Amino acid sequence: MHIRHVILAAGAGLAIASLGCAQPARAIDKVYSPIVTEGEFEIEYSGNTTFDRNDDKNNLQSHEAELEYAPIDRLDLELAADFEKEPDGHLGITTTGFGGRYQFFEQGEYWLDAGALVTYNAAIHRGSDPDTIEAKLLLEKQWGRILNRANIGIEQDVGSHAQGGPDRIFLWNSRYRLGPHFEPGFEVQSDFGKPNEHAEQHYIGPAIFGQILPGLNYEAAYYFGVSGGAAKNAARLLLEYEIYF
Amino acid sequence: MFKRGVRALAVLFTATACASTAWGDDLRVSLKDHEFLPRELTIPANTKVKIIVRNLDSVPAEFESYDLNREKVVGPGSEIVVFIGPIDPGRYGFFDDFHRETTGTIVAK
Repeated sequence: MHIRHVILAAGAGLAIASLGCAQPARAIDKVYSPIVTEGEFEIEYSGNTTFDRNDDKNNLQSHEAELEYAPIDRLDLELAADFEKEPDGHLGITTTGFGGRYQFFEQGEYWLDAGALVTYNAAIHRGSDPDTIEAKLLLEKQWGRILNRANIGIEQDVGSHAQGGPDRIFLWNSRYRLGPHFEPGFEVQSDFGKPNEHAEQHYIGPAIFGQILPGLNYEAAYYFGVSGGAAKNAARLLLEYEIYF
Repeated sequence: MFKRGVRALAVLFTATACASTAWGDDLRVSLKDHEFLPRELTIPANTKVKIIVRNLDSVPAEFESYDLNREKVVGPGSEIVVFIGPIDPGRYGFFDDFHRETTGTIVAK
């Protein structure tokens, strides 16, 4: 049963990755929860693509394969590989990353749940691309059946090819917890770009979340670009399989 | 504008994290022979409650509730703390995700 779930998730990821490659839609990312479950091991695929009449903004894709494990209470560690495609190139691995997510206090102990995410992403093409450090504040609050998450963060280029100040990121989603298999909601994906660059990308759109099978979860969203730098539309898919050790 | 927004959120987070809230009495529930004891907990509605879950079995268990959005592993011979509330009056199910036949109910009134 478990092997079938893994093959299902990997197959879906490969199917989406085969659509092609492009410049990454940097604004679009998973909205992380600050809540960590000790002993949980996750295999995750996430990917996104854009749709636009302008060839420079159309079919921009990025894909990520990630492994996560929470060895102790409130601390989760992750390893990831990112795949992107240049507009006239092929899908290729661009970075490998290592990071951690820390939950500040017990869920529900205070009015708001909070944590932090820090990752270091090493460029594969070290002769031309910078490494990056990403840091995000993770917030979560539930009112009745409505669950809200916010990620506020920065992404800073480091190393000999680093350019400019940090990209400033804001992600938000809200969902109505209708049932374990289907939770409708919406999502905001904002990349304010580097200071003084005026290259902002903002998206908003409907999203759905839920469980396909025990341990196999999904997220899917379709966005509308609401800033000049964004594509007209974009889409995101995430599949994760979790088991416990 | 982004910086102002982040500062505002930080102030809001700090203020609300320290805000006082009405608390109920702590409750205890044990897991023994894959059974929650007691199987039904009664708590005051609209009040925060701390539940201490103790696993008396020799295998790990996971206290989980979709209704309450809680999921936490409790090791053999260990105990965990779960904070819930304030919740509306009603019945909220919970279970051991590692042994799904083990279930319980929280009644808020």
